[in-house]
Amino acid sequence: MTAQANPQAARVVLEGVSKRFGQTVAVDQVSLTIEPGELVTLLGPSGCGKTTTLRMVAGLETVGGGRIYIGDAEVTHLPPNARDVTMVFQSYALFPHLSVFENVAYGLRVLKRSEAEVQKAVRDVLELVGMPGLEGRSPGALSGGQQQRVAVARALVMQPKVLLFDEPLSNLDAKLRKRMREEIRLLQQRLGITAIYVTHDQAEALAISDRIVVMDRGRVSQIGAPGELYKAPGNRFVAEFIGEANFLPAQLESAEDGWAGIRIGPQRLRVQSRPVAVGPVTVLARPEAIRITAGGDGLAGTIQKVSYLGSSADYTVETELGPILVTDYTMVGGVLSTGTTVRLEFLPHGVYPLPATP
Amino acid sequence: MTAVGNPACLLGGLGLLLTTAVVPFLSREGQLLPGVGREWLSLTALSLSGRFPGFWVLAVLALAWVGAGLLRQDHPHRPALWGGSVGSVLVLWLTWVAGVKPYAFGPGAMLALAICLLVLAYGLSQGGYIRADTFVAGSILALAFFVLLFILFPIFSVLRNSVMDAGGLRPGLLLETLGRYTALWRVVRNSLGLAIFVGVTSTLIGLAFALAAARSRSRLTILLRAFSLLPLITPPFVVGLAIILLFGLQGFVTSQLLGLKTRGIFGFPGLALAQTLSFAPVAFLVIASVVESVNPALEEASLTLRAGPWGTFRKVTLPLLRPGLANAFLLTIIESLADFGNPIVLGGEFEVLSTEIYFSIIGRFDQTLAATLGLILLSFSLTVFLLQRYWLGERSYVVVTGKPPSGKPMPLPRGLEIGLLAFCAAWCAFSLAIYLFVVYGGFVEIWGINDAFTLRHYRQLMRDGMDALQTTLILAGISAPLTATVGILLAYVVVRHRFPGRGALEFSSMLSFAVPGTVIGIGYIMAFNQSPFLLTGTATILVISFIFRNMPVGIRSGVAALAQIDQALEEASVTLRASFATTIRRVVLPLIRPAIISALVFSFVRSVTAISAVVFLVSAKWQLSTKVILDQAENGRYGLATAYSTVLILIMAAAIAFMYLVVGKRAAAGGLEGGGLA
Repeated sequence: MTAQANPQAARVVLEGVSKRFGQTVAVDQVSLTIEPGELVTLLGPSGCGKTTTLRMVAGLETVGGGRIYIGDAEVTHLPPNARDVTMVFQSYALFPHLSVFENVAYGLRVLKRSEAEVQKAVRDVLELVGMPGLEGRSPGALSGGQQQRVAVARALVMQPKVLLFDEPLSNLDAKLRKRMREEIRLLQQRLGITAIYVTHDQAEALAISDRIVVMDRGRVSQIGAPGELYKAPGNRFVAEFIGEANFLPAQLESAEDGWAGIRIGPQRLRVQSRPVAVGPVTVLARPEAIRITAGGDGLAGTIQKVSYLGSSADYTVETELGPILVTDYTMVGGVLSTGTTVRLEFLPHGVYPLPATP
Repeated sequence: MTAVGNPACLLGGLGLLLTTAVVPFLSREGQLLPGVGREWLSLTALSLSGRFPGFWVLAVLALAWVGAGLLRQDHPHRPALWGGSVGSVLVLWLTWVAGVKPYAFGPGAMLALAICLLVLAYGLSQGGYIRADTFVAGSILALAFFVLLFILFPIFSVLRNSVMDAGGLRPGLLLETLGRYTALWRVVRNSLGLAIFVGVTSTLIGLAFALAAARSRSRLTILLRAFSLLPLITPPFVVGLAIILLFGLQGFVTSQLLGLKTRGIFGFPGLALAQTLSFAPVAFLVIASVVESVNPALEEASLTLRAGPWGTFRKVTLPLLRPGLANAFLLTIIESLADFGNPIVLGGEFEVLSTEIYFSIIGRFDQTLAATLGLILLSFSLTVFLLQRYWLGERSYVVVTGKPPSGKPMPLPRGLEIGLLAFCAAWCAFSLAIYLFVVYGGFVEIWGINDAFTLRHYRQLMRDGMDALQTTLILAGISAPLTATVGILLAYVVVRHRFPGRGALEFSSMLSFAVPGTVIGIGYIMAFNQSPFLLTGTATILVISFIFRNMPVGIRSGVAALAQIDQALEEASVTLRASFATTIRRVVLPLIRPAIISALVFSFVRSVTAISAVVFLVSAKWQLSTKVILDQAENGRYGLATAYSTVLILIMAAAIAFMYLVVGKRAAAGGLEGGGLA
C-alpha cells in the first residue's frame, strides 16, 4: 500500500506484550507485526487495551511482559525519549505557553538542531499539513482542526520511525473528522511512514487502515484488512463491532471449497465461507444485504419500528427467527409504515456463516 | 540487541573510588566539614579502612563497578540495580558503625550514598521498573531517603526513647514512666477536651463564614475572605498575648472596664478562645471549598420540587456540606492538639500534652517522659488524621479536582443571611480588635499599670532582637526555595509517576502534616544529637525542620497546579525526545509558576512563624524570633513581645502582598488555601 519507500520507516513487532493494572489485566499477550510504511489501527470498545498497547509502544507505560521491537532494536524497557517514536494525542497536547512555531520546533530544539535547520524544517512541515502563516499564534487561538494539524506537524517534524495516533479525531465534529482522517491517511501514504492508530470508531478504522487489529478485553480478537473484517469476521464480537449485524440461526446443508450452501428460514443460498461443519450454524446477515419485498417466498415478517435517516431507512422486522434489522438504501417503494407485512430476501454477499465459538 | 557498556556503573565506580580516596567519609562531631590538611585526609574511607575493614568492601565494590562498566553487556540495568542497592546499604551501614563518637557522618558518606542512589536510579529506569529516566528515578530515591531520615526516623526515635534507656530495650519502661507521671489523666483529658471543644466552635464559626462568604450577595464577603488570611500572617503568640492584654490580670476589659483583678482567663477559657480565633479560619477554608463545590442544579431541582428556600437549605444544602464539616472538625482537632504557642502563654495551670512535652525536656530534662508523652500525643493526632483520610475518603491528594461546577448558586434565605452576616461582622471586628491591641501593646510602658506612650520596646528590639530576626529571615529565606523544590518535586513524582512504594511515599510525606510540631521537635533532638547523624545546634537542622514541616505547602500547591495541566503535555514532550528533566524545565515549570511562587511565599511565612518544633532546636548561636517572643512573654514582658510580634506581622503582610502583586489575585488565593490548609 505504501506510495513510496521511506528508508526511515521501521517495522514494529510486539511479542506477547502484556500489562496489568492492579488486579485487572489491561493487555493480555498481544502479538503483532506492523510492516514498514503500513498504517495499522487498533480498534475496540473503551477498556479493550488499545490505548494501553499504544502507550507501551511509545514507552509511556511500563511493559508488564513480552517484548517490543522497533526496527532492529528492542525497546521494551527504553524510556520514551530514547525511542524515536512520536505521538499525536487525543487532546493534541499543544504547549499552551509556546507559539505554534515553538510547539512544532520543540523536539528539534531539544535535539539542539541549528536555528537555520529548525526554521526550515518547521516551515516545511507546517506547509505540508496545510498550516502556513500561523506560526506566531498561540495554540489557544486556533480552531480544533488547526490544533490537530499543528499536533500532526509537531510529530512529523521529528521524522520518527513510527508515528502513533491516540484517538486523534475524537474531539472534532463529525464533518471535520471525516476530512481530517482523509488528510492523515494521504499524508501517511505520501511520506510512507509506519503508523499505529488507535480509535473506537469503526468507520474511521475502515476508512484509513491498511490493516485493523480488533481488540476485545485486552486480547487481539482478529487482525485483517478492512474488507476482510467486514465480510468475513472471525467471530461474533468482530461482526458486531464492525458495522451493523443480525445473527440468525440457520442450517448449513453443504460445504465445499470456500463455499457453503445454507438455509435461512425458507430461503436457500450459496455464500462464501471458511470451512464450517454441516449442521446448525449462526450466520451473520448485514442489514444492507437484506431486501424487503412485498410478495415472493422470502422470510415473512411484520415491520415493528421505522427510523427514517434521509439517505436510508432502518426497519426492525419481527420474524419467526427473531427481530431483524434491515437497512434500505433504495426506498423505491417509499418509506413503509409499522405493521406492514413483508417478505425478506437475503443477498449472498452480505451473509456469512460464523465459525463455532471456541 | 547490541551489546553496550555500562556508563552508569563506570562513572559511578570511578566516582566512588575517588570519594573513598580523597573525601572525608566522616567528620568530627559538631562540625560538618573537617579541617583541611592532615585531618581531612585522616577521615577518608581509605585511611579509616585500617580500623574498619568494611571500607575495603566499599573500595572493592567501586572496583567491581568499574569492571562492570567496562564489560559489554546485554542488560546494563542489572549490575546497576545490584551495585546501587548493595552500595547504598553498605554506605549506610558503614556510616552507622564508623560514625560513633567523636565522629559523625561527613561529606564523603553523603557523596557515596548519592552516587549509589544514582546508579540504582539508572538501573531502575533502564530496567523498566519506573517509567521514567534516571533523573526521575533518582528524585524518587532521594525523596524517599529524605522522608525516611527526616520524617520517619525522628518519629521512630521518639518511639525508641520511650521504651529504651541506659539499661537497654525495655517495653515495660513505657508503663513505668506513665506510672510515675501522676498528672497523666488530667493532661490527656485537658488536651482532648480542649481539642473537641475548639473543634466544635471553630467548625460552627467556619460554617457561618463559609455560607456568608460563598452565598451572600453582600460586599462584606470580601472582608470575610481577607479574614482567612489572618492566621497565616499571625506569629504564634499574638492571639494569646492579645487575650492577656484584654482579659488578663491587668486586662483592658477585665481590669479597666470591669474593675476585676482576675487570672481567670488563664487556662481553659482563654485557650478555648485563642484557639477558636486561630483555627476558625482553617475550618472556614475547608468548608468554603465544599460550599462552592455544591452543584447549584441540586438546589434548583429542590426548588422546582416545591421546597422553599429554607426547606432546600435544610434538606439539600446542609446535608451536602456534612463531609466538609466533618473534615473541618477533624482538622481543627489536629491543629488544637498540636498547638504550642497558645497553651504556653495562656495555659496557666491548665496543662496540655504539647506543653508538658516541652517542660519535660526543658524543665525536667527527662527525655523518656518527653518521648512517652510525645507518643501519646502522636497517637491521638494520627488517629484523627487516619479518620480524616479513610473515613472521609480523602485518601489521597492525587485525586484533587479543581473544577467548580458552573451555574448560579442559590442565595441564602433572607433571615439566615442577615443573621450570618451580623455574626461574622461582629467576629471580624473582635479579631481586628485583637490585632489592634497587639500593635498598641508595643507602644505602652507597662500594660495596665503605666499607660504612657513609649518607643522603649522598639528601641530595645533594635538593640537586642535584631540578631534573632536576621537569623530567622535568612534561614526562612534559605529554606523557602528548598521547601518549594522538595514539595513540588514530591507532588510531581507522586501525581505523575507510578512506581513501587508510591503510596507509602505519599503517606509518609503527609505525615509531616499530622505529626505535632512538638513531637517532631523532640524527635529531631533524639535522632540528630548523636552520631552518626549529628546536627543539633546547627543552622542546618533548623532549615531541615522548616523544610519538612512546611513540605505539605509545596505538595498541595504542586498537586493543585499539576491537576490543572493535561498530562499529555508532558508525554508529548518526552515523545519529542526531551528528557524528564528537560520536560520539567521547559513544560511543567513555566505552567505552574504561580504555584511555585505561592509555595515559596507560604513556606517562608510559615518558617518565620514556626515555633513548636524549632523551640527544641534553637541554640545560642542560632536563635529565632519566635523563641525570643516566647521568652519575653514567659517573663511577663508583654511590651517587647508585642512589639516584636508587630514587626513580624508587617514582614509577613509584605511577603503576601508581594505574592499578590507577582502572581495575581486568583493564583494567590489558590496558594493561600494551600498554605492555610497544609
